[in-house]
Amino acid sequence: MNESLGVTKGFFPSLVLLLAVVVAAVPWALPVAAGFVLPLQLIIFVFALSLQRKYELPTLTVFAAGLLMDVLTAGPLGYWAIIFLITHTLARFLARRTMPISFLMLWVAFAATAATASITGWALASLYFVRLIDWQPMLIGATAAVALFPLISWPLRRSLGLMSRSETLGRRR
Amino acid sequence: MGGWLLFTLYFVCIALLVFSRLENNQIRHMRGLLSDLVSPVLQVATQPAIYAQRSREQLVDYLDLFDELDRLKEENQKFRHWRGEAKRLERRLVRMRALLKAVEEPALDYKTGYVIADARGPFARSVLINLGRSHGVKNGYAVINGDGLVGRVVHSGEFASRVILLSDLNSKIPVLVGPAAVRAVLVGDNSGRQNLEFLPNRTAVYAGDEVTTSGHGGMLPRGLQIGVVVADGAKAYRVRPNAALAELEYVSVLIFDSPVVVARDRPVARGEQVVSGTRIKPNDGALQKRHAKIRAPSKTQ
Repeated sequence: MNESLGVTKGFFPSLVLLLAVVVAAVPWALPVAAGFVLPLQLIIFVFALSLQRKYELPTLTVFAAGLLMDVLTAGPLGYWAIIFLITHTLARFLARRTMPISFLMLWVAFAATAATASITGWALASLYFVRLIDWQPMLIGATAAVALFPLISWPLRRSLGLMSRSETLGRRR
Repeated sequence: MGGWLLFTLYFVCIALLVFSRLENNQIRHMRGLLSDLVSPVLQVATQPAIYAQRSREQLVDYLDLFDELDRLKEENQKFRHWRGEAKRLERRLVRMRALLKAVEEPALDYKTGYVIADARGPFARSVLINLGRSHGVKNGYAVINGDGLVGRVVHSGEFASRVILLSDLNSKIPVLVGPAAVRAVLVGDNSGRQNLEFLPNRTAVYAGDEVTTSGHGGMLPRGLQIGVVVADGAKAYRVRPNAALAELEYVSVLIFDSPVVVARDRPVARGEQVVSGTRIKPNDGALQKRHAKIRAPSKTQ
């Protein structure tokens, strides 16, 4: 039982992230201005799943999910991968802190991460086109991500917490 | 270990970005392969999105039912008048074509599929459709829906194809504008409306003018509906496409083998010349003389 749970440690968060990428790429008939809303929601998944110590999201999965997003959105390969990796790096940095932090502080930390990721995304896209691209869709996407953070991260953290508790109970028995 | 892995992955990302910018063929091939690989998953994942989109449309329709009925009655009256007019013009066209001995345009075959992934982010305005080479789809084919042209195929995989939309920055389509059929090029800029470029000097374009494909260059069929000219500010005009490019669902790929593409695809037989995409056999004396005449002025220049 314990061994099987050990195998799923990296598998469950990887599966959740890859499924989220597919759902974000499916046509939901959103307006042109909301072009960044769905891709930037994925950084919530990367951030929340990377914070977990027990069910840690593998770095290679983050890279693969970014590449998959690049393929599905017809952008240059490496663009979303780099944004996801930045989010993952910042979340891992936060997870190394031994002191527990409140949810409000976590939300603020995510807002800073979302700002860093979207500014990097805007700068990379501008560099790619060699002209300053429209920053408003990026701002709309980042704002939506910050606003939706509690709605998406709470069930994720809760389900991973329940998995962790069931594993501990299994060991005790 | 983790630090090194992260550093390597960042490096790989930057390398991939540079190679993508340089439009490396291997990267393009890899992208096509990955698209084919994930297309079955996307086909399944698209179903709830299609269902949600339809439910939303049905709800909106239901709320506007009575207004819609009045509008349709009024529109029906107008269309009855236009039907009679269209029949009269069709008869006239047949007579004119017979007088001119004009060559009949070939009927276009098409394949219908649906959008399985939507491009998002700052880059291409494109969609992935569930039709590929196995369905006879090739690069360059025009893609339409009930409202008109939506784009063209830029990469055809085995089971899925990438369609670049009219709104994309790289989309450039030769068009005819208005009743005077003024030539122009429709250029996308990643926004909802497109620009008209290369308009001849001193030509007037008016709001409400219809824009259709011109067929110049031989890549797209002539006469496909695109949209209408709308005013953008005091003096500028842009084109609003008829198709709702952000809400594409079912689309059709027109099987249109351009004469230019076909001529390029076939290998040239020994003793055969190719002039402007037309093949001249060694024993075709009349055609050789005609092409010699066409080429003569360019030699003297």
